[in-house]
Amino acid sequence: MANATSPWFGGGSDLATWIIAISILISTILSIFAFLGVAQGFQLRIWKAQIESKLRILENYRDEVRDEVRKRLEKLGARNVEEVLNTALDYFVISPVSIEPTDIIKRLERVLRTEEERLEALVTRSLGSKVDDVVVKNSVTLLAIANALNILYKYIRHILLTGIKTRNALLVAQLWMLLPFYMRIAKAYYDASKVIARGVPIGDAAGPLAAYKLMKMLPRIEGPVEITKDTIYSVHEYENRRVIVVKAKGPGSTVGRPGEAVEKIVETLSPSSIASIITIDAALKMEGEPTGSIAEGTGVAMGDPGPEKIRIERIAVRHKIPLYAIAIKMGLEEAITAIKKEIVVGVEKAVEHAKRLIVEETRPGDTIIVVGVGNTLGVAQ
Amino acid sequence: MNLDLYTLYMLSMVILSIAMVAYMILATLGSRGKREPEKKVITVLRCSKCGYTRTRDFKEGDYVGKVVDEVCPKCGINLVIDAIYEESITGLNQVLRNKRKRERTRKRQVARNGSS
Ligand SMILES: [Zn+2]
Repeated sequence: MANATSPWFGGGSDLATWIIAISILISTILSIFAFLGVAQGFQLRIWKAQIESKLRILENYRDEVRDEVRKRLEKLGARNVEEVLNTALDYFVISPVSIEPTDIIKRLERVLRTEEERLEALVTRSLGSKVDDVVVKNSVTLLAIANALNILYKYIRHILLTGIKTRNALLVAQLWMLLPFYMRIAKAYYDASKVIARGVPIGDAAGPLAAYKLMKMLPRIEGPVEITKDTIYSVHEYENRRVIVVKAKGPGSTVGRPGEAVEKIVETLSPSSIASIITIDAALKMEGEPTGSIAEGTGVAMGDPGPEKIRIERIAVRHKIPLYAIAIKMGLEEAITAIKKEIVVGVEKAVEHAKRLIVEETRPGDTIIVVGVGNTLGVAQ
Repeated sequence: MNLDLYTLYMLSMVILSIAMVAYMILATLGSRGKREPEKKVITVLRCSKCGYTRTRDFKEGDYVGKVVDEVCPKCGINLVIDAIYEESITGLNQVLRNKRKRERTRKRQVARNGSS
């Protein structure tokens, strides 16, 4: 009866039986495939396609940064640009032997300084001697970013190809899961290159900016003097105390050698007169903490691989100088891209905090060293 | 009613799958439409004598501590760059800016089509 009145719903029961039968058949076949490992193969192919699309983005980032550096160098009249780029993009640093720890920090310092000097020499030679130091420093930093992107790209490609070659689905799966994290870093580097090329200060400049504000705020007695490569200090007066402010020499992109500078200052002055060393630096915030908030602690606030930091620690131990640290909190991306307003506000708070610390923890007549740690791009003295 | 149990089951399945597909398409389109806020770098100029401050867009070559050509309207001395920072343009400004940009691209497209 129903069949006669409705051609659509009438045959419903027959159609439904067929559909259910086919679905059962398909799911049976699929589960057999899953046992045979076919499903994993499909999954591997999907992962591979997704990783490859991200790899293309990474390659793009690298090529764009490389082209940007090439354009800048060519505009400045550099010679052998291609050669400079090839050397810098594949430049590597071998970490020192660590199973014999004696002197490891000295060896690491030697290796890192050689890298820095070599890259600077590479750019200087290509540009000729007349070129501005700021241009050289910024070009070297851009080359370092291109290098980091190149190495990251090659590393991810390597893991993917190894995973496929050895049919290691787990390796590819692991890479696929970690990829968002790597892409976040790559994007931050890429954004950083745009900012650094224009000479805009980055978040990491918080330390040097604090030092600059302190220098402008307190009456100057002496300086600024370049005490060691790319690092300056000046002497100021505050509440009958002598405040020696140390920072990297701006406005080129450099972190200077704050450890060596502090060491030299303590050793050339009468050591007993140094009442405390205060380091101000950008610090990675935890997820959820507000950008630009500050915190006080102890130790040396410095994000270097070790050689500079240890110099301050050693000199402080030798002369029993208390170490105070002020951290200006920010995220990883914020530290290497254009400085945000919240961070500038945080810097002002950090300066006030340092001044309070000086008044509270030292006596009139004392000498205090304040170090603004970080990359001083776009911040002079 | 003409509906038996099987047809009812079939119909609900079809409706469910259509709803799911529609939701997925909408979700994809939605996430694509979301763009990060536009950003702008600002330079703060300050008179070291009277504390007068003024902001302007960042220009290449600016750095904190640089003495610029602009002078203080009160003291007549050169201003110094006191801070440089990045600001995201949000709210009404962002809306206006995006609208202007869209209009510009549309005009460009029209011009291109007209010339070719
Ligand atoms: Zn003025």
